[in-house]
Amino acid sequence: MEQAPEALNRKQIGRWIAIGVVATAIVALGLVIFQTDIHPRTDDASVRANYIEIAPEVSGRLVELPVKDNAFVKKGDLLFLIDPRPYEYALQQALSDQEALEQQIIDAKRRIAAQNSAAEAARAGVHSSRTGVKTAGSTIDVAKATVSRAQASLAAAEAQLKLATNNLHRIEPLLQKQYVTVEQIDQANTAVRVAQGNYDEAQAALAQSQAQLAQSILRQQEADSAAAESQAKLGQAIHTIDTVDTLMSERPGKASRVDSARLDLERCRVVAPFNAYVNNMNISVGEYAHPGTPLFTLIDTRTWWVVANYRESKVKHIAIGSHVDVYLMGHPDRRFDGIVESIGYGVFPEDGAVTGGLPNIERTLNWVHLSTRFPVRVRVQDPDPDLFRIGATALTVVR
Amino acid sequence: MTIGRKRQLLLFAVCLVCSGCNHAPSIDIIGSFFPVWMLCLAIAVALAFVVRHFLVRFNLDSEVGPVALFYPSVVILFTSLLWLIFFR
Repeated sequence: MEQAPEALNRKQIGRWIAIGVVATAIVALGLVIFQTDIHPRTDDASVRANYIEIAPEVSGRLVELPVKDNAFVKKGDLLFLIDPRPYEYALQQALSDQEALEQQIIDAKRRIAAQNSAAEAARAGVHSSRTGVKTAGSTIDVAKATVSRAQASLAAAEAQLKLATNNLHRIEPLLQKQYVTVEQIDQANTAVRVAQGNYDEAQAALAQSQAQLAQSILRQQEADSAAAESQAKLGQAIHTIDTVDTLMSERPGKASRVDSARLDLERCRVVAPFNAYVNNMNISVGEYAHPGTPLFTLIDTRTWWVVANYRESKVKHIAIGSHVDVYLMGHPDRRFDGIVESIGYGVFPEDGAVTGGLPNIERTLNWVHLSTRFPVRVRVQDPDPDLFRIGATALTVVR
Repeated sequence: MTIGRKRQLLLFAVCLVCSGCNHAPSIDIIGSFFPVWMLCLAIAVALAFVVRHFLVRFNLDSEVGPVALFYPSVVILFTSLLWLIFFR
């Protein structure tokens, strides 16, 4: 009889234990599920940082290479130096070209001044030839007056000659009747001859003055053509004045060539653009650098990210700006603080293949589908640059 | 007795949670990273043996109903508790 209550008691305790364990297990499991839901976590994450491949912009042999592989370089530290001599010479050449152009411009300006003086002289020549034309015109007037005078003298001489001749003819028949003496006849004859001489002289004077008139007219024509010639010379002088415009237009070209040479010279010296780690460096001094060909890689240590791939069902619990616990598997006991910066909007779709111009759809009877993962970019707030390496395995828990 | 131990365990857990546990939710075993719930599960299985040992000692082993339900529940309970305490 003593056994029965004890057994009953034990049975009751056993039942309570069983109920308690099962109930607590369900509650605890529920708590776990709730926790993982509101604080999504993933171990599918890796450390990222920006990196650049350092490529020279000018070609040449490396004469200095102070950095080593995996070394830390500060912003502005010399990475490598390309032999600068060809670029120094090019700069000197460009500078001398520029100077030559300046001297050419000065020369041209001097020449232009001379040509301007020549044009002034031509202008004075035009003026004097115009005066010459006017002088010739007045000479013609004088000659015309002389001609008129000579004509008048000729008319007078002709009248005198006629008078003398008429006199002679009147008294000649009177000689036979002895009404006049021989002397009188001779006198009349002489008068005729004198008048004839005067007449001839007047005629000659007229011819001379006419010739002078013709000469003056020709002189005027000559002066006219001289004026036209000097006018044409003035035009020529004006048109042949050089301008410095073409030389001036070369100035920016020469200046830009100097700038370009100076830039090339500066580019021989390549410095670190930011605090960085040197990576993938397998060259020594003497390497020939080609423009655009990378020599090594620089890892930007200013910002470190962790890219965590979260299942699509968890993405809705991740808000931009929420804090994230970041663990590196290299140092699992250290926790870093991160902030969700962005969530990827695209991954490569598995069923997007196109074959022969048509979508290639797999024949499938899959009941279970694996969820897609989207990359969540987490910026690490307090990175330890000694611990973070690109590609390191990381774990993230969104808080 | 069991409930008392659980209370103590819970108190310890609360202390641990308050002090904070900064270990990553994965453990490194010879270069492979295993999720910590696997570790919790292994410990929970071991603890289930301990629980069974005590139940046998107090003759309660046959009184806890169907064993196929009870021990998995014990394992789940310990796994969840360990996880909640150390790796929440």
